[in-house]
Amino acid sequence: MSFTSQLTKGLVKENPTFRILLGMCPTLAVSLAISNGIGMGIAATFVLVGSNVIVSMLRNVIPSKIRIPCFIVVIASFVTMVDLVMAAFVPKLHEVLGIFIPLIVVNCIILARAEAFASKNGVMYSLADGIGMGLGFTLALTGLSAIRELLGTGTLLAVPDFGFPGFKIFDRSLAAVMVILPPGGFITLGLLIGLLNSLTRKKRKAHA
Amino acid sequence: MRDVLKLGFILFAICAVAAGALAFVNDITEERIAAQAAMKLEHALESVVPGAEEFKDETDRVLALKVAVADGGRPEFPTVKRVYAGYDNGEMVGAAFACAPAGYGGPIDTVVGVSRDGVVTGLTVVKHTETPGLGANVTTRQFQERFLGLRAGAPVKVTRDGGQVEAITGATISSRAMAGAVDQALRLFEFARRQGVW
Amino acid sequence: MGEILVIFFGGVLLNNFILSRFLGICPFIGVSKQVETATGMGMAVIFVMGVASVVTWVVQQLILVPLGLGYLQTIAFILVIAALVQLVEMVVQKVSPVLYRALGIYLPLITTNCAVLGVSILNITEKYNLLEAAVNGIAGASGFTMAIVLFAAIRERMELSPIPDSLRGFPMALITAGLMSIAFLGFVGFRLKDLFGVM
Repeated sequence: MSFTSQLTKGLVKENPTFRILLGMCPTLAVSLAISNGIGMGIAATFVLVGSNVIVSMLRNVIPSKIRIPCFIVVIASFVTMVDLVMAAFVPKLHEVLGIFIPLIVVNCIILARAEAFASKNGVMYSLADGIGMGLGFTLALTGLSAIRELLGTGTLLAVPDFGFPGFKIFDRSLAAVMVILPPGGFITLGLLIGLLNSLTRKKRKAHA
Repeated sequence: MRDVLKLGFILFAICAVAAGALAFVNDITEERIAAQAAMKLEHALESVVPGAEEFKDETDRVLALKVAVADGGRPEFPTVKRVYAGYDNGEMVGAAFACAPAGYGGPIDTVVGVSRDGVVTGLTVVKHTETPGLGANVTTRQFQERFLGLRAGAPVKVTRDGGQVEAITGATISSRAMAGAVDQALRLFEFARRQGVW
Repeated sequence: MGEILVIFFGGVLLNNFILSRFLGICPFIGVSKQVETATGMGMAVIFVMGVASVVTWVVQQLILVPLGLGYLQTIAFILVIAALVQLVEMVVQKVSPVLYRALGIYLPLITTNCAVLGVSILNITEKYNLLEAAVNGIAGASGFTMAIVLFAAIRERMELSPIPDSLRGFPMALITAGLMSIAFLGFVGFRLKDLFGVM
């Protein structure tokens, strides 16, 4: 495994959202607009990279008996930093993401990477793993958000923090509001994963 | 035993470093976060009362009147939470009423601006939990403009209730809540003016 | 009394943790293949969320706020919850081996259930008092339990249904949850405050 392959595995092969099915709560809850998806993705990536690096650095210091509480403290510290910085600089996004920023702490992706990868690998590999997994999460979240924003509101790329209303693709009255309501989150993600499954299945068949 | 002490010490050390780092970040961001919150209110007030240079929180003065006349203990203006008066060079030019009428998904935090002569000059939604795409349209300019220019006298209602304001299609409850907020703001303004507050 | 009822029914029906707030999805999908295990998980969550609501509220109001350490909220809450879950596990094991056999395997999973941390933070942002916080915790967990048990019952039936290969398992579970969530949308807009006579 090279540095680059550590970096890219999170994007497709081991994509945390579509493949390993972790971190569902924020994925479903905040994927209403692309700006939300990217904001949440960056926040989670920052925490993931930070905690992966620190955990990897401390992997020989932390006794295995108390490793989980130690990981949690490290992760929670990074989450709090993100929370404070977002409240100070992008207040509208902070308000929209709301409770899901502190909840990054219990996002299974982050603890899972600390436990399964960073506590066993060197700093550089852990850094690459964090960036890759973070980007994979961001990509999945942004993709789902784009679908929901387009179908649910008829616009794309609205950014409330910059007062930008987004590009209008079709009229709001034609939009399927259900897509940005909670049921739409479940169903859209379900269909999207089903679609990806059927694509990879076909590919596998073609190989065989 | 020594093992436990060692584990405890390591965990404690990690916590201490974490707390120190957070105290540092908190120190940097604290002021800005407070400023952002203050700015948000300031923005909302300025956008609904044009021409005002500074705002004073006069909730206590106005609501004290309200309590004095309300009979039976049922407050007469239940959705009005705070009252701010806007001044320009020491002269009162209008008032902003922060209201929280009950919408479809919960309270809709709204600020209604009324000018010195009792006309609605603006309204803005600060925070809401209405259905996206339906009730959430109370935040659109297109809807909010329907209230501009209304004055105290005739009660403010949506057309379905025999009033003058056209509701958002598919969101009568949210529209009705907004109409209620504007109605109470106007009535409280009239009332306070007649009591000689402004 | 009215306020308490509004919080309770609001938590169970209107703001159902899973179906409208998206809290606790991982165990909802992961531990819902059988009604029996779903019920066990639900009971464990009710227990932990009730206790966690009270303890985190006390930590916030009696320690963090007086010391001006509000920014340590996340870190303090997650540590308290992790410790609490361990403690509950040990106590239940000692006091009631029967209960432990029923709930034991679910308890460790609860630390990373975002519904627990979620409700603790919501109690603070909604400015609940101690009683309201406790009720909110139990209500949220009851809503979770109701949703997961109903969902498990549906999934048991689905085992026997002809589902397209690509949708089998997780995607179909999500779509089913979506359909349940549509049913729960019907509760939104319910005037609980009028029903219980609260101003």
